[in-house]
Amino acid sequence: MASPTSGSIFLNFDRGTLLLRCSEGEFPESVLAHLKGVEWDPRVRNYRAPAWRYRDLVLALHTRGIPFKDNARQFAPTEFSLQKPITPRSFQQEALEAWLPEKHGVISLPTGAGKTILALLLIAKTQRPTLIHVPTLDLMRQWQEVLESHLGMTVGLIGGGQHEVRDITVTTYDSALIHVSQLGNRFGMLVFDECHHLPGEQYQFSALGSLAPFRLGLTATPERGDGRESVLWELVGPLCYEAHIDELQGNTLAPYRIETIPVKLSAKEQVEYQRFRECYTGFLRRERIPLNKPNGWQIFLWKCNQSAEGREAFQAYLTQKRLAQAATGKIDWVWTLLRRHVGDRILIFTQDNDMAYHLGRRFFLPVLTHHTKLPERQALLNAFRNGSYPVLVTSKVLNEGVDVPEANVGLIVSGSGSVREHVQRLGRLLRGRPGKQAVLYELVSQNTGEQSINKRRRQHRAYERSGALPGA
Amino acid sequence: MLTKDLVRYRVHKQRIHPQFVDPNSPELLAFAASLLALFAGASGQTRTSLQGQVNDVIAVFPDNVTIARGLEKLLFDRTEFDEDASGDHLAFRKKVFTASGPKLAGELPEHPEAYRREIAAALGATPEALEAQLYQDLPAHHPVLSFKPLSPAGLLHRYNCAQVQGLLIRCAKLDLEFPESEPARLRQLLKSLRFHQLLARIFRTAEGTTLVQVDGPLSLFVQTQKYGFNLANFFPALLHQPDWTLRAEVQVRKSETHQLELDNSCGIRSHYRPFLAYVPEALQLLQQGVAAKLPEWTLQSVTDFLALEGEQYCFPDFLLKHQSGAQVPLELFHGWHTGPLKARLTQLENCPEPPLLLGIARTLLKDVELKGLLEASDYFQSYGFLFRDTPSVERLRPVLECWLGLQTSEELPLFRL
Repeated sequence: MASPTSGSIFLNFDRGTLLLRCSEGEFPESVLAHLKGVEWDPRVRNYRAPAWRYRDLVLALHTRGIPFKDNARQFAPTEFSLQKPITPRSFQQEALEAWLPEKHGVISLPTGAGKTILALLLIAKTQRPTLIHVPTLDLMRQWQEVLESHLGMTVGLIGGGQHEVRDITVTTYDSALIHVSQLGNRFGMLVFDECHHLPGEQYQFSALGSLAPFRLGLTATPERGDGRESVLWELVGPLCYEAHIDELQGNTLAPYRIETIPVKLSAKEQVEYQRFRECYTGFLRRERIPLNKPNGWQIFLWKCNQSAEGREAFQAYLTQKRLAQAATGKIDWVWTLLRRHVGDRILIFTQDNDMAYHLGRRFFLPVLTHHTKLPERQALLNAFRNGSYPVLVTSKVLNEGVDVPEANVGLIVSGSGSVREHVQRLGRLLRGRPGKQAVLYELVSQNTGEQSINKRRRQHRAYERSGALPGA
Repeated sequence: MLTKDLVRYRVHKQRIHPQFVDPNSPELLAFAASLLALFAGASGQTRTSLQGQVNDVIAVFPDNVTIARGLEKLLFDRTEFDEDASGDHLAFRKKVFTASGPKLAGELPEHPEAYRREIAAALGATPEALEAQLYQDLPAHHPVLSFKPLSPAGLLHRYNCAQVQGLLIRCAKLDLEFPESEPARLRQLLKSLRFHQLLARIFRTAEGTTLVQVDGPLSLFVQTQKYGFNLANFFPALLHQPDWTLRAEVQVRKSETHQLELDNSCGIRSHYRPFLAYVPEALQLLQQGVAAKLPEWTLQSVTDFLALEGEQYCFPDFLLKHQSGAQVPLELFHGWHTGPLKARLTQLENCPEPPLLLGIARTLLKDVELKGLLEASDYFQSYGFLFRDTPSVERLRPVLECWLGLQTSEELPLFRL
């Protein structure tokens, strides 16, 4: 760093931003012209930049030989060494080589392809205090275990009642958001696991408010329905490496097949379904509500609150949805598939908690939802892994990240139209094991709205080989 | 606080108008009273049971159901449920799964009923009883532990306040105007801003109106909602001002900004406790001590804010006036002021002239980083002192002498950590 002299610049970190002071008060225009993202803040009579601009700012100052004193950065290179050498797989090596030159960017790999190990290798190479962001408490613990076992050091945790900041710290996105204004200058590297969450309305501030120059995004599904991937590319770096499920299948990932099972509603369910569906769609028609438009759903909810007829339509909407998602035929199919896969490790996915607990009560199965407290959650996952409980029902908490390599059969009893959710659910089953063959069943109620939902979520190359739903 | 779907507003010509309820409406007061009666008598009832009764009351509510759901949400926010009432459920579930696990790993009968009967028999129960008990500890079954009561009118005011808060969460910029305000009230307001970690720019017009622009540091670059919660939580403090105007830029829909304008005529009552010009007894003792032991000085509450470099303002606690005419503000930092003190030290290091004295509670030294900052701070070494519970005259005297240039900081061991 250039040593400060008269007229030099002082960089300070201020609650997620950088304050730039000039020792002589006024900032020369010639210097400002080179500093992207810096603006005059009349509130504090200083120049200010969002913290994530730190890397560009420092590089610009260095390159032009402009002297500055860096009071912002509160970290230094730190040595991390692996307890045992790790030999990366060929695609991991390619990903390493793609990320290392710029030390920022997003790597997209399917679930089970070893993203945590890849991050570990990159942390060891980068040698900077690192903050790892994860979406759930389960993942936070999982990362902590892997990092501690490979690096032989204590890893800090922020989230779930823990607040211990160390050179390597794992945090949830929620907790990072709370603390970024204080911790944004303590880490030189940020890792964003399941980084498709980052462009969310709030979460992006974890990246905006930190000055860490080195950034790694990891995901199996960088695509977002709202097109905000651009925020990800800007704050973390561009997509620098990508491998797909079908490319790694049979080698790193277990071979798999997807089977869609059409389920008939009972005669009584069919009659009820039609009645409530017509009530709901009739209301949409009468009120001319364009559900296919971006704000269609908001208009529907708003109109529903305006009249008794609207409230009735909303109840009808919920009922027809429940009838399709929780058809009795599906319950029968669950039993059939449990019988078919005796000896396998089965994950059952549902769209909502009600259905998950209904199945749990019906077949005396362990259910894992956001209501499950951490100790029980860990006990259930351990029992599933060691085979004591061969079946686990879940709504959404296992959609992402949690490592259950033993699972080889998945049953989607109900789900949304989200491609990402579906790919993530499939990903739960694909972690490679010798001789493992994974199968994912989708139960879809015939002649209901579920058919089009099923069609929507299959728009991914991982599904291209599997057959379309008859009648869809 | 209300969720977005429960906030009621109208948009007209770029202006956004929260839809307040009339807190004097007999119908609404009666409805609020009936809801409150349910919650007040709900102790021991499960969430499902309480929810069922609330639904029955709401079903006959003649007005917009969003109002009813909003009031319900505010009442549930004041209700504490016993989440630990589950007791032995974990052990019970473990027993059930230990029985069902091996069965699921072996041959299963064609019909699930046979399997269910077998598991239940092994545990000495019927399948139906087992089914009913298995997830009995879910939140729906949690009993009500306590409810923080309030009056029907208080609930309606709380609802109106929550309507504004629901909009301010989505606000990136807030301008406040106080044509006239008692210094003590304004002081509390500015303290509240600091408490909520908001950044403000303050002006005084020639006519004596105070203008306050509030937002967060990042709002210079992005339309951030990160400070929205802080702004929303700050709003009830504003309601204690007698005369105010609020202008906010609110973004309730993507890429559309609307203007929210409100003033004290909205009539919303604050649910925050006013603490105005309250002077704790210990600080009264300091005043008496100064009068007795430092007769050349007088100590009084500060009635104005102090412009600083950096954050631009602060509101010291006291002003000390010397008989020579010299005067110096004193700002106190208590055990919960770690963040503000760190920020203040940074600002003061850059000040060409010392603008104020610092009194710092010893408990703050537990923070290792802060202790290091104080040790390294020339400013603190010269113009600061530590206190245990309350500042004492003995600690204050040498700092004042230093201020008057009678001694140098090196000769003042009291400042050393």
